Amino acid sequence: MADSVSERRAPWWRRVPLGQRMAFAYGALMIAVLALTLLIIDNFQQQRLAETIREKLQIGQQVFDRASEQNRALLIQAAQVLAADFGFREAVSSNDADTIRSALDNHRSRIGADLAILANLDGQVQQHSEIDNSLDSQQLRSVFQRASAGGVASAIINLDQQWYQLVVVTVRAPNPIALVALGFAVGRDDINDLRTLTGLDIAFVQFQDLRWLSNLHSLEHNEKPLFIEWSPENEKVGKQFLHLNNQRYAGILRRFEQQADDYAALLLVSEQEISAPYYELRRFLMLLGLLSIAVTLLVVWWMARGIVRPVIGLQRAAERMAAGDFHHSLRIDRHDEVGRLAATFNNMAGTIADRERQVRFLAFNDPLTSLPNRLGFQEKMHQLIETEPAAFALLLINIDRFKLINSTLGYSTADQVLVMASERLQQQMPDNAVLARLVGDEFAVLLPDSDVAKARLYAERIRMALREPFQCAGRLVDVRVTISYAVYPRHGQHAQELIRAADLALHAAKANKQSLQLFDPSLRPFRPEHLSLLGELNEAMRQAQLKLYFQPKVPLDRSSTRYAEVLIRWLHPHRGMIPPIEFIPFAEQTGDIKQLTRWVIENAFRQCADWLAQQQPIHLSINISSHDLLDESFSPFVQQQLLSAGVPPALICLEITESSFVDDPQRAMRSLQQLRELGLQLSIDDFGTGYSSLSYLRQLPVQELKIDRAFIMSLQAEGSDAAIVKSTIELGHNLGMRIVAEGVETEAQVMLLRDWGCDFAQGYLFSKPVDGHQYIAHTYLQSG
Amino acid sequence: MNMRWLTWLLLWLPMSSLLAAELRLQLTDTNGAPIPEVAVALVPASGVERPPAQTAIIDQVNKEFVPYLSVVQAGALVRFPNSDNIRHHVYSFSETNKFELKLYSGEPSHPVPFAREGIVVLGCNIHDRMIAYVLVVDSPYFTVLQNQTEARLQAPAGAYQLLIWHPGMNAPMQESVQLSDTPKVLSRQISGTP
Repeated sequence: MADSVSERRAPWWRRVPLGQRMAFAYGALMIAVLALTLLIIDNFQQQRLAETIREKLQIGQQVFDRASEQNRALLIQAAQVLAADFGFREAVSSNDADTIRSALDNHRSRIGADLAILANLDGQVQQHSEIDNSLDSQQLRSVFQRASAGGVASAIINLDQQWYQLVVVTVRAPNPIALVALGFAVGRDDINDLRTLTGLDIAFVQFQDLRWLSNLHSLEHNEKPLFIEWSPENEKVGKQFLHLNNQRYAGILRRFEQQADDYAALLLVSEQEISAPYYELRRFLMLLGLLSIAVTLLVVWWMARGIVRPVIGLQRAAERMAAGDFHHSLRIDRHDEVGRLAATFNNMAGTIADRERQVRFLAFNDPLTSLPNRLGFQEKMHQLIETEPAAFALLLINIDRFKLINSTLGYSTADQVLVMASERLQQQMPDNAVLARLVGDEFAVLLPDSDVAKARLYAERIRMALREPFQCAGRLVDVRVTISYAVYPRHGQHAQELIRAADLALHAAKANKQSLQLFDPSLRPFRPEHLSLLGELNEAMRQAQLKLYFQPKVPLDRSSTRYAEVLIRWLHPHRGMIPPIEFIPFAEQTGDIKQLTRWVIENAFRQCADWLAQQQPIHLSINISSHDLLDESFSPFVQQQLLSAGVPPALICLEITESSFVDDPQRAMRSLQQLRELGLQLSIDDFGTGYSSLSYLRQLPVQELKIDRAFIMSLQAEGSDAAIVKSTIELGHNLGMRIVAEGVETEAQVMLLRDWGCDFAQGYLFSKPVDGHQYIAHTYLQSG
Repeated sequence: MNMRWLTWLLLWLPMSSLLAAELRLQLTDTNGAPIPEVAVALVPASGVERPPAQTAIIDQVNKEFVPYLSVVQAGALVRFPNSDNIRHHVYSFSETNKFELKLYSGEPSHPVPFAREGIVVLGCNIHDRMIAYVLVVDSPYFTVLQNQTEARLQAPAGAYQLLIWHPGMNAPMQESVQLSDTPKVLSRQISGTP
């Protein structure tokens, strides 16, 4: 209960296993640190990027400008040297076009230029080294004009898809006579050199058709012309960004010296390239972070395992203990807190196991004799049934008058007797037998591989062994025992059923004052179905499912007077015929027997009256129970029924068992006297099974005695039964009673009984119980 | 020096009686300032007999041509003595008189004839800064003004072409003038040299 409450109230994370929780916490911490680090780096990088770009562009531009200037100066110098060459000047002043052109070509190649153009001082092209092209353009003219004014000029222009660095100098003779331009082709190699020099990407751009176009640049795919989105707005600081080849660049547009806006160099820096080292760092950090997270998780997992695994081990051990298993101790392979806890735990388990063993012993054993008690015995029997389902016998040994021993000799002596008895019993035991003490004065023996005969033999041995008096506290104590026995599986399928069977037999033996008794199923009082039968009994009485049967009681003096005992039969609509033994004892227990007795009396009287009307006076014996005797309204009821049926009381005999008097002898006596006063005959049934003695019976107003079938069944001319029966007949006669022998089955029995003077005989020899019609149709006479 | 003076005197004396007319030309730049070097010449109409041309000298002193601006009569010989102790290579690519005096020192063996009228620019192939201008006219009446504002030219009365030129001009300025016994006074302004 406490567990479930705490479980309900615990926050969800408390229910996550410890290891996972630790791993989660550490992992989350590491991830947070990593994320923060990256965030800081990102932030820093964002600030640094713009600055780096600005710096890089600035430096690159300065380098570019300086390089351009140096290059320009160098080329101008070279051109000036050329223009001053006497031969060249001579050729130029020769006025011969071919001569001039060849001179141009010659001197062009002399200084490694790609183009040489001669113009007059007005800037009009006169001759040039390119034979095929006219080479006249506005751009060219404007360069010449600048040179004409300033002596020298330079430019970078695009002529016919080819970029040139152009320098123009004056040809003097010695006064200026012409202008000569030398063009140096700018190719990819030069661009790449510039790129190496400045650290920037370079694109030579030309403003054409309202946009910038570059067919010479150092970017990727440099064979393709590139269209560049660049507006004057882009020239402001912080705005110089553009996209080229799907990359973001920052750029500066450098217009060439004094040129119109048509030609320029765009210096570019790739944001990606600038960021590359940062991204590399970031990737490295990320990798490092992930690696450390993985390592941390591994370490945490390993550590958590070190803590959690022993805890789980403890938990499992505790569960095993709860289930009663104390044999597995925890392995202790460490000496830290967990190890000490495990040691303490093992110690505790050991203590609990000891205590449990003690408790178990007490639970299953008798402390006085150390023999198994009822529980232990049942357990052993159960095991035997489970493991070896072979026949075995159960003996119950009850010490007679043990209460007397207890009260007269004292408890300690009585206990001593019990111990000594147990020791003697133990000596008689075969090795595989089990001896137990069930209750105070009762022992039990389990005899494996035994049938009824073997058990009986063994019981005799026990009786003999205990017959010798016990030397106890300075005196001799005489012990007698009653032994009952039952066998598996005949008398019971389960331990409890078998013990109960033996118990019933023991009670029967006590009741019958017999010292040895085998269980008989008829001793079993009720079965579970009796409960439901009870409910149906009242219904049965109303619906005439009950029927009266009659068994002749034959006078042995050959008189023709007819006697019969009234018995009851239940024709159940579903179960068929139900014998009285199935419901009468049960009804006796619950008190329902009173209704039944009244029903029997009512119907028997009516039958008697009927037969009387047919001139057939039949003496009927009817069984009544102790409940009827204790019921004060019973005798008035009988009286009223006698009157209403018109039956003479002398025809009716009521049979009572000895035990009917046990509960309230005074009241029973009173009832009997009232019934006797009505003129009814009274009979003692099942005589010999109870505790009553003949002397006691003498006080009862009884006219008849019925000897129990137990004495008659094995009746022979000689023997104890014969003696009992003979003396009972004699004594009964002496007390003025008729004697009835029950359970007569043979002619020999009849002969003996008649010899001994018995008055009536009843049994299957004459007839089993039959219904009224059958009974009246036959005459039951004693043969012979 | 004495010789030159004497020669000039001898030449001038027989002509002096003929030179009755005189041109007095007031010449400034457009600001009224004197022009550093400017040549002025009176060219008689063709068919008028001219005295034979006299030899002129353009010296080279301290890596400069002296004088910077000369006027010579067509057909005159010009001597190029080298007064420097280094060699010079005098040349001209001018259409009117292309010539070349390859590296030399001292007096070249032959003077250079300046036959055709026009402008001849002289240079030194060794020293790019050395430059001299020669205006060749078909006349013996000329003078060079150096930071002066008045030119006086005597010549027989008659019709003449007046030429004014300095190295900053592409071609000489020309106008016709008639000279008589009384001196003719003219005043002209020209754009200064560049």
